[in-house]
Amino acid sequence: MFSIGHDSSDLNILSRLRSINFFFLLIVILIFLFGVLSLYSVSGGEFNSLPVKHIERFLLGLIVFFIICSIDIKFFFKLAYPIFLLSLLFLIIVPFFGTETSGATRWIQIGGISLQPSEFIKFTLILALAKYFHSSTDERMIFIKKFILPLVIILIPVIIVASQPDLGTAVVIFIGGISIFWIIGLNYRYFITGGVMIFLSMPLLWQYLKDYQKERVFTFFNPERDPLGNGYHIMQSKIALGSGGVLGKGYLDGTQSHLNFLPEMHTDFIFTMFGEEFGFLGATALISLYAGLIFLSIKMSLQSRSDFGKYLSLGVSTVFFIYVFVNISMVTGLLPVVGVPLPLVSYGGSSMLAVMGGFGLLMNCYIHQKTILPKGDIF
Amino acid sequence: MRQKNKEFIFHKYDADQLINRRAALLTLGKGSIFAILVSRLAYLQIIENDSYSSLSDDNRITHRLLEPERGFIFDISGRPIATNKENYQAAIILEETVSINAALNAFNHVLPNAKLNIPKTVKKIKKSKKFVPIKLIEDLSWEDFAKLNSNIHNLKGVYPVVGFKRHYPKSESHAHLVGYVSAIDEKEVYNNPFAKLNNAKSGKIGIEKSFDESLRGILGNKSIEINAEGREIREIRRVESKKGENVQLTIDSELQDFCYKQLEGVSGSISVTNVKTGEYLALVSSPSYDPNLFSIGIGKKKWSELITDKFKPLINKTISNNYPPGSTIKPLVAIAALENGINPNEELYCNGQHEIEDKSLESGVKIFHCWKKKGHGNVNMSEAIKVSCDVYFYQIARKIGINKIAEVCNRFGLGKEVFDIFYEETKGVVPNKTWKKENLGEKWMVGETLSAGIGQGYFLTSSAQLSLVLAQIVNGGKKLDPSIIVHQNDNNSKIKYDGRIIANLNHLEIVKRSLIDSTNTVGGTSYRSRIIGDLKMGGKTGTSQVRVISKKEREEGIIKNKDLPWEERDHGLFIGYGPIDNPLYALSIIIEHGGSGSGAAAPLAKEIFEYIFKNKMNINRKKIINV
Repeated sequence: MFSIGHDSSDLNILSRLRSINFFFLLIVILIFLFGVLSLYSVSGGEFNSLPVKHIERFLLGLIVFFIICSIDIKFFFKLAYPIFLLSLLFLIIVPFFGTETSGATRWIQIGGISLQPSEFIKFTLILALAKYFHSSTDERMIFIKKFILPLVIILIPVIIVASQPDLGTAVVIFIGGISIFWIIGLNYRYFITGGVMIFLSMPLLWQYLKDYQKERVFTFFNPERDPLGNGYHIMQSKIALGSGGVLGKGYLDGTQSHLNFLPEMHTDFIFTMFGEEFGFLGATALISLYAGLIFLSIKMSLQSRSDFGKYLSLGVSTVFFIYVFVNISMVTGLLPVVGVPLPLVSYGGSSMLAVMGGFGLLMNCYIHQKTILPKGDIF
Repeated sequence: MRQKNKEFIFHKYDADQLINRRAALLTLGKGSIFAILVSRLAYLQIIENDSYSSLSDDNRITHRLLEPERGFIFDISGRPIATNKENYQAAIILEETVSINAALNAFNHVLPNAKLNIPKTVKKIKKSKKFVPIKLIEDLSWEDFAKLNSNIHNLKGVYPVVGFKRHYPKSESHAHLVGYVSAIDEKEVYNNPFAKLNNAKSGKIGIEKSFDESLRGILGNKSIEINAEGREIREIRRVESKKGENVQLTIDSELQDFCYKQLEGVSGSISVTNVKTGEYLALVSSPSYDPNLFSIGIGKKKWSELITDKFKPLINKTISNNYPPGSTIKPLVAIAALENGINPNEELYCNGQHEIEDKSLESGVKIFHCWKKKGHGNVNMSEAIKVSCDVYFYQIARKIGINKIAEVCNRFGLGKEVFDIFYEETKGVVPNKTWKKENLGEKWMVGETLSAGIGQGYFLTSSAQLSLVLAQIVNGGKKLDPSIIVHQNDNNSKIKYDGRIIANLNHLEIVKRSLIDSTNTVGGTSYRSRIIGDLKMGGKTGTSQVRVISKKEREEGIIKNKDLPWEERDHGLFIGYGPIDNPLYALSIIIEHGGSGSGAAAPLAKEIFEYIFKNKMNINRKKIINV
């Protein structure tokens, strides 16, 4: 055959690390620094465990990123399914071995570190789907029935996570997985049909929601319904952001945030505090960094010669986008409060490690953009 | 082409082009969403800025925690050991003063002994909100507080405040047992809900720490309306806090005080146990400190004095310090011997020393000395206990072996914690072959069995353990469940023992007889400390060495304790019980580096038992009931 690519074994570890897109990494570090800045403010201007731990976790994330970058893409290609199954296994054992915090069991203890398997499955799912479709599209045509297995693969983690209960993460996993279908090129009409079907089955799904989840949806549509309970968070968040104005109230001077009106200030609502202190200009700057990172990653994805690389990196970048989109929409009152962190900025170890691991995969595809991967049997 | 066969979704040949098209649409979609987010922010932060700014200045609801009163600690008769006392303070509210400096100068004029540092205080006040009361000074005397109150019209902006602080009426004598409270430290922040309170305290050691959770009570809270600056406008809802539970100790605080007085000027400890119930009536450690100092924050100078003091006033020597038991172990070694078939009437000869083979030495023999250089001659078991003959115990220890001695010691409660409630309690050591292998990685030597037979070598015990051991010997071998807390559901003076820890009561009788003789017949080691009267005391002295006496020193004459530096003098121990006809209390006394048991410890036991026989044969129990 006339191969226009080359084999990945041409690359050694050093040349792989040299091929990293350092502009991409620079944006990641900038966003992370915004996170440190915000957590320092959350701590009331003290360099205590919040910002310090955040830095530690990012450094750990960077190590994971570099390790993934230095591995041959064929490794991830070959082991895509086992990696996915392993993360699925962790997700399944959470209810049995996990620890419970505020009514939700999401954490699992592994040698002193507590991890949230639901954060990792978002990316391993993309890995498995990318391999599946890479192998399927080798045939001249693709049948609709080829989408049944992937749909099942998506729904298993979605249902498990939704029953933890963690609706926000379940939605992120679902949209992330389905986005691969879009990238593959599944006809529009299936998305439209699917959307209509989900809409029609809403009343049925509604029954499975926990009371507090229903409550959140109600309050989303009418925040004034319960200004001291669920609506309180949304209202306080909007007041904090709105009162920040164009230039903000100044670093460490956010009155709303520091008077403890805001819940979960170091995790889900950190953007609110940032927006209050740095105003519209600061918030827009942060959003622009996110947008820049996402557009750059799409451009990098399309340089991949293999379908696997394209699917994987587009998928990772889409999952990352969904995080950002859901979190900011949530705190600005565009979506109900579902508990999704702002990646690289919110305080949280699993999310940080998962995102950096995901970026590692994305960069791995970029490094191996010329590598040709074998097509054929999907397993 | 796609329409030809509806089962086909797309054709491979345009797949790359398709991905590019889909990716372009994806980019467009994501771009639009980012545009929406930015527009939403623009709407909130630019267009609606004014209305949100005014909303942010509006009054809102917030919550404040309410601190409960800390539970009290009482003794067995209901005498208070730890309470809370008014803490008279003065506070200033900046916005109500005309000028801070003037107000503070006036304050110093009214209360000259407060010695308020004005520049430092001004700095502190300026950092805080102008309507928040700032503490100027606390722990004012009642006279100063009264003076402040009567001059308050001259001190605009200054207010008298009555707060609470932990108070220990018994101060030093109960300090180690009860412990103290001080500011919550960083390690506790995550699991102590009280950390969110301003100025909250927690128990740091002793009962205050062990029972911190029940003593501290349950936080209350109130919802208040505040404005954007945080000023309280009105209260909306209140959930009252719940006072902490009281804790009642089995300690008799009068006896505790009396024992503490006996330890004046020496470093040591006393434990007194009720031999019928296992309750401890006194646990005293000396020297001590004033726990009240910690309630409002101990100064750096005072703290460093306490931690550098060579007599270790912060350590509870009844449970946290371990000592070789010396000859006070002999009753247990005797029981071990009796249980292993040694005939108590058999006489062994003591010529002042005992030799064993030791190939590592040049001479090939190692010599173990009796405390009496010229020896005791022929002694049987009773006589050996009475005169504390070391050679007798070297020989029986060697015959029965270390593991049998260790087994009896463990059975009587050595080598494990007496109470399971103190964080600071230590277990001590009952050595045996496995212990040495596991902890030192070495094989057991015969010579070490001999040392163990007279309570030296690796043996380590605490004062609380020794009085428990004696209590179980003199109560007829009944196993006690040692306690320091009067539990809410206990019946008064309930006798709690579950079975005997000894098979043959005759063994105990032999040992008890020897303990009586040891104190009450001529030649006994504590004869000088006997009590003359109807009620008598029995007991055993112990002198435990802390240094090795060299061969050279033995030849030249052993240096007398009083000529040695304090740290190298022998510990003086005594275990005693009384009355001998119907035993009620057992005690142990350890005087650190006191020289000898008969000289330093036994005389104190005499004083204490005379006091007990006179005042404490019937203790007035008064149950404290938690509401």
